[in-house]
Amino acid sequence: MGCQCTKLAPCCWDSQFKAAVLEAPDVENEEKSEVDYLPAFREFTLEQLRNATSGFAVENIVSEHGEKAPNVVYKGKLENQRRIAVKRFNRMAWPDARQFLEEARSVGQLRNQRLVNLLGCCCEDDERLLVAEFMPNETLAKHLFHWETQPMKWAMRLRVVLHLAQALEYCTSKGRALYHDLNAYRILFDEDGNPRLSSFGLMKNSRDGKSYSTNLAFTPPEYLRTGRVTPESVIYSFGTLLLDLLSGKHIPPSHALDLIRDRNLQMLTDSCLEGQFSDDDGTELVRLASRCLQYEPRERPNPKSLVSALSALQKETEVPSHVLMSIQHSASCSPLTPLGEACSRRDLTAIHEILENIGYKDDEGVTNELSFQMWTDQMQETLTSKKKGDAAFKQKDFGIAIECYSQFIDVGTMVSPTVFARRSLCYLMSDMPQEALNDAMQAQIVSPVWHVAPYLQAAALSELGMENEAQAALKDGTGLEAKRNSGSGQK
Amino acid sequence: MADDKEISASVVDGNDPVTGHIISTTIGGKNGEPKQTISYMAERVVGTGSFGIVFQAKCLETGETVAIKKVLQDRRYKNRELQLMRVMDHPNVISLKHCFFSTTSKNELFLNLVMEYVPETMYRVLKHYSNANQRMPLIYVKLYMYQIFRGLAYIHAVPGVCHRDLKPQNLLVDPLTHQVKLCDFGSAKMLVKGEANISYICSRFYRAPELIFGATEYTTSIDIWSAGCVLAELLLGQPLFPGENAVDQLVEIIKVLGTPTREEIRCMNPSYTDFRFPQIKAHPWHKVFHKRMPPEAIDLASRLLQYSPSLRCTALEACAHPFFDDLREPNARLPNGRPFPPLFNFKQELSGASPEIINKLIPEHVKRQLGLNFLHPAGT
Repeated sequence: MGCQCTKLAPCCWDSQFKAAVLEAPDVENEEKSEVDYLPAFREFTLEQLRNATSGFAVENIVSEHGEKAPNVVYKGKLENQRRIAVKRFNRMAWPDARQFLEEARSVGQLRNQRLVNLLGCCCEDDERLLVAEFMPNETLAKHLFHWETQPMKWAMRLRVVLHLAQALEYCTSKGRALYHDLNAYRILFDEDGNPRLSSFGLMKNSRDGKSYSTNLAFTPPEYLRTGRVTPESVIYSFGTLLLDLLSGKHIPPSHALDLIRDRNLQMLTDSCLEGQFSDDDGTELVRLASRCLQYEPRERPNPKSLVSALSALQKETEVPSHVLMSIQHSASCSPLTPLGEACSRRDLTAIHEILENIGYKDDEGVTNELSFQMWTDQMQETLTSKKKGDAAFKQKDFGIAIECYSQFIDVGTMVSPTVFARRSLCYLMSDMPQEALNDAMQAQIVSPVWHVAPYLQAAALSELGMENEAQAALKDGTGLEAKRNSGSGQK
Repeated sequence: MADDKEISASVVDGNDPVTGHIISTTIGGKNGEPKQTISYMAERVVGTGSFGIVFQAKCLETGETVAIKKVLQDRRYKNRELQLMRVMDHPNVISLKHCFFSTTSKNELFLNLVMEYVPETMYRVLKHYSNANQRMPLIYVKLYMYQIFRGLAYIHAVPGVCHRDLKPQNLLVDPLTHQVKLCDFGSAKMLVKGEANISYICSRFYRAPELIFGATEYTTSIDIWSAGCVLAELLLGQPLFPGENAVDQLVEIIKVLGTPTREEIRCMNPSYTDFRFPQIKAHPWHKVFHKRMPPEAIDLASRLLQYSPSLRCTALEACAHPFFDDLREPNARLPNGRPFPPLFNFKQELSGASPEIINKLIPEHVKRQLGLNFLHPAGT
């Protein structure tokens, strides 16, 4: 594991520099263009994003409300193994393709450690998609409001608001001060447990003029009057986030201000924070919140002064975020299953044995429209090549197996994740890791929840020397296998 | 005030009240007062429930129409509703005129509560608008809700009573004066801090979430939640949380307000913090209410419909909310040009209130009329 940020950087230049240093151990395997930590903004094809998300599989939805929401966010993995989040707008959101592209390109120029950076977009036919970094550790709303094992500590809450203020300061300095609907769902945690502001909120949805998705009692007063948001409106929303962090509940700001005026901080404060902070610190945060929630927009502070006020309040700055949050860091992993173990050790013989045992039963449920082709000669031929391949696979005659499976795959009348997995292993056996990786990726595209695919990717990646990616793939496999086992346990 | 009404309960022999049946009873006779006979002619049944029945009756001596609520009386206990009704006196609370006991041939004892008669309920008024495919004009929403809160402010602060079954069916409306009165104190209780109460009270759509969570140490803020539901219903024309059963009721609430946070669950019932709920984001309120909804209405609704009971505003604070400012305008009138029912004749319910809130509650023009300049708090 690499070193951790020891001190919170007072300004973003500094923090960006530190980030680059911190990432150094991981950078080796990245492409050269990523020395700057991230690739430049680019356009993706629909095909690429379709493959990255296994055809926008329901299983890959990570946003709230699942399928029913107007805009859905999927997790995905690009061909180069980069994890991504893909936001798919509904048809009507961006009727003008050029406007969408301009907005996306502009937001895509931003690069900052405090942001979930926008990596690219896609604009084909009616589709409008945004691609950003993937954040594996959920939203602020989850950690603050719906925590499972421990409430968020005071020191971490202070860190969240500082990082957020820094993110806003950066965006403001780059001329993108307007953030739409800033709320606890817009802040996500990266793999180090550091909070980051989603860049999706910097994109204005042109049609749906509604800039706020939540209760109107929480929106800036000028928005209610004019229907427009200004940079000062963002500061108002920042104030509501300060209240969220202090209270752990949803208090309408007008009511919170009444409580603050009556010095009723007890009522306001999250009971989980009892004894964690001094009266002075609490008073200071409340003072800051009431300044942000000023009715008159111009009386609210700017991001720069928020950063300096919040910097002074920081606690336990030497403790890394993932420790404060008790997040499992990527270095540690849950125990491996036999297949996971075999793939992690690249024990190809063991993998072969397990794949033989699984047979084709995991292909069940993969859609194959056989009704028409069933009786044709072509179909017969396909099935024969598969049969031959299976026999060769069993005999460990991997060259022949590759040949037969390739015939089966190339004809393309049937899709079988198992065949891809088997050919992937054959390639591994034949010392062709790149081809093995491609097949393992194909298997995942066809069957997004199948644990075998990421396991095989892990074996191939590690053969290619991409250890970090291999670890991540192994973790995916473990996760999917666990989910599968618990799912079948319930039945 | 309640003392000088001194109601003595006399026992009347009689049969079940059937339309046209005449019941006679006597009042007075204590402290040298002359005895007086009062006879009621039962006219029609206006309500039935598990408690018994309510019928409309006419006092033969005075010609006055009254409502008589007849409930089975357990001889071992005092009737709580009667005890509470005796002490309450407020323009927005139904008043008790008289009461008497009656027996039946089966030797059952009934308590008859004789109350003022108000012809309409909020339930029927709402139905009237929804049948006509209309929404209640905002001025009536303000007028009705204000009076509900004034009634609640009184019962919560003066006798310290929690109604525990606030709903449109239990809100009476006079169609001419538009005066609103809280009625049916059959579930009401004086809540004592630290003492447990039953949680299976209040009608489903209007039940505060802590009651669904089985809380027993709740406060009068459960009435505030119910009032919030009524406000939303007047604005929407239909119940905001139409749960099909107890559990579904919670789902309906979560669909609008989002899943309660850990802290909010703790505030409602600390023993439920280990429960897991489906995580649902709050529904955008601009989709819950229609577009032209004034911000003040939304602000008030969200201060009433708070998961944390202690964060709900009090009834008096609700009265002072800007949503009701129109009612305090000097020239404010009913749409037909007639004056509003009395809205500012506060009494004991203001004791203990801050000078700011009192100042807000009594408009300048009323202060001038009353010569209440001393109520100006220093510095404002």
